Amino acid sequence: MSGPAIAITIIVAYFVINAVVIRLMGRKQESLEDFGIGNRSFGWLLNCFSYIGGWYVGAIYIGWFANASGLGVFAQYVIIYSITSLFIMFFMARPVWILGKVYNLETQGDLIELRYGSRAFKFIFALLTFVFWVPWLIIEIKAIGYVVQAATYGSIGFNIGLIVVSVFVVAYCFLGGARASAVGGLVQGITFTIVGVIAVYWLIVKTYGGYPELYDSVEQFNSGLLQLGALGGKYWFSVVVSCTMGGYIIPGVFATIYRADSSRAVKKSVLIAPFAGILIGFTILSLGLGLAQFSDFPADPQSSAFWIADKMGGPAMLGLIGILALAAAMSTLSAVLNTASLLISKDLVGTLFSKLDRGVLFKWARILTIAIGAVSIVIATTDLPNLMSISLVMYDCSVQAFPAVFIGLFWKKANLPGAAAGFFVGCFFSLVGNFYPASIAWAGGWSGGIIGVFFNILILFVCGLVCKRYDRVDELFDTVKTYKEVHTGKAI
Amino acid sequence: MTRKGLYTLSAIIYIALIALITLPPVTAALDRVTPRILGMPCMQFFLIMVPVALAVWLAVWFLWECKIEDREAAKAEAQTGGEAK
Repeated sequence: MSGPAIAITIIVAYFVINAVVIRLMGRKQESLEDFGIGNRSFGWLLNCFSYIGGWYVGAIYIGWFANASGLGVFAQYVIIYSITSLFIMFFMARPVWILGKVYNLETQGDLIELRYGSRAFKFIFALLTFVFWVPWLIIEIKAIGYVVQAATYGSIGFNIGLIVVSVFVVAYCFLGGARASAVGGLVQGITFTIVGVIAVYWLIVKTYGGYPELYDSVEQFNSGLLQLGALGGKYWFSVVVSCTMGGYIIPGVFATIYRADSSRAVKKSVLIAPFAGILIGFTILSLGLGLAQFSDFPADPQSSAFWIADKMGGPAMLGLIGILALAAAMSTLSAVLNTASLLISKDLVGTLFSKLDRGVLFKWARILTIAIGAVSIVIATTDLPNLMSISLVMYDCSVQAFPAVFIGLFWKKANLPGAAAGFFVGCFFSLVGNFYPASIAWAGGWSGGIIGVFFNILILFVCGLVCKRYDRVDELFDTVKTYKEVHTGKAI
Repeated sequence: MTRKGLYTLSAIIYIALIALITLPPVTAALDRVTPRILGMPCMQFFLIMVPVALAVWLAVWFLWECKIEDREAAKAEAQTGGEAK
């Protein structure tokens, strides 16, 4: 059997396993609540691995891996913000879940409408968070193209691979909704957590001899890779803080909370998710850290994970790294696709046409799954810059949702004027800072996102102290305080 | 400890650990290759130590909060039972 044939066989076998498990554990979709958030029925293990699957992106094997080899330990910001975002999710899991259950919330926009009493703000908030967050779809679809091409020695082209795999994901999201996405995330999350960590550690040992030898060789080759250097200071602070705040605020995190059968089921994921995250991130990015010292290091560093897998383990290891990266990309793609279709259907279409009933919105959500998937696939076939650069811009913008949501959950005086004005001012600074960096040179190195979030929080607090608070806010806080949860303790 | 106390303690731990790894003057001091700590370059050690510490605290926080919730539920049940009698 030739090299490409071995790699392709491994990838196809993995697809069959995915399809069978999703089919066996899937259920017929009968309502918007079922399609969007699985009827709030997921046990802690399903929720945990679908969260891990949704959170850890395929791009970590491509753009982040390339940055580990070029920028060194700076690329490990992804490990830090993954854990710190979990902390923030832990803080808000109980109020978000309880309000979701009592007031039938299904999206982040629903929470904004409930908290601030404005459908107009919900619409604009949902639209902007969608615009800032949806590039993940394109990043992940693009990642799929890289993976398939690299893992099959180029015998399957970038666009063909991207289209075939993405259509598979779109199909199971369309047919099975949130449950299919979560079950897929469970299979894919377990794959790249357990198999992934073992396989990548094996590659580290095979390539360098172990961790001490890895650090010795990197220190000899370029000790700057073991320090933040010029990328430290305010830039490092800006990246970690904006990714932490922006990371938790993405609509997909809210879907994870609403899907669980209790807030304890959401929180229980901290027994696995952070440790799995550290292992996944640390092994992958460590492997990439010293690769640039090899003379045959590829000209395109984004393919270096596949290059080293083939060099050290041949076609079988290449196929294995291929399915790990595909697992990570597919689980994120399905999670974003499912949440995005619900967001547009409910927060945008449902808000614009308030007379539409839930049955019609359910049909919209399903159709939108295909429409969003198709548009994203088309965009992904065009030329785009390094995947990590795109994600940093996105986080800088989506962080502006943090004050309205997070502070609004814990501070009664947060009100509509403050939340809306703060959000818009914050978005302005983020966009200007990213697209016209010279205009924020006065800030002395802080990013547009951090400047924006500073003014955003300031405005929220000032308006909270000056303007009248929302009439129903006491009722909402009392609901959270007095609600008695039932913990089922189920795993799936 | 009450739930509120536990959340306050968690917030303090969280901010302290994040500050350790992000505040420019602190990271400037840590951003070096030597000394090696547990076999890792200095900066690499702190880049891993902070997430591990946060992960351990998250697990402790979850288990502690479950105990508080279960205790509160048992207390509420006992009160309800007492009233019924």
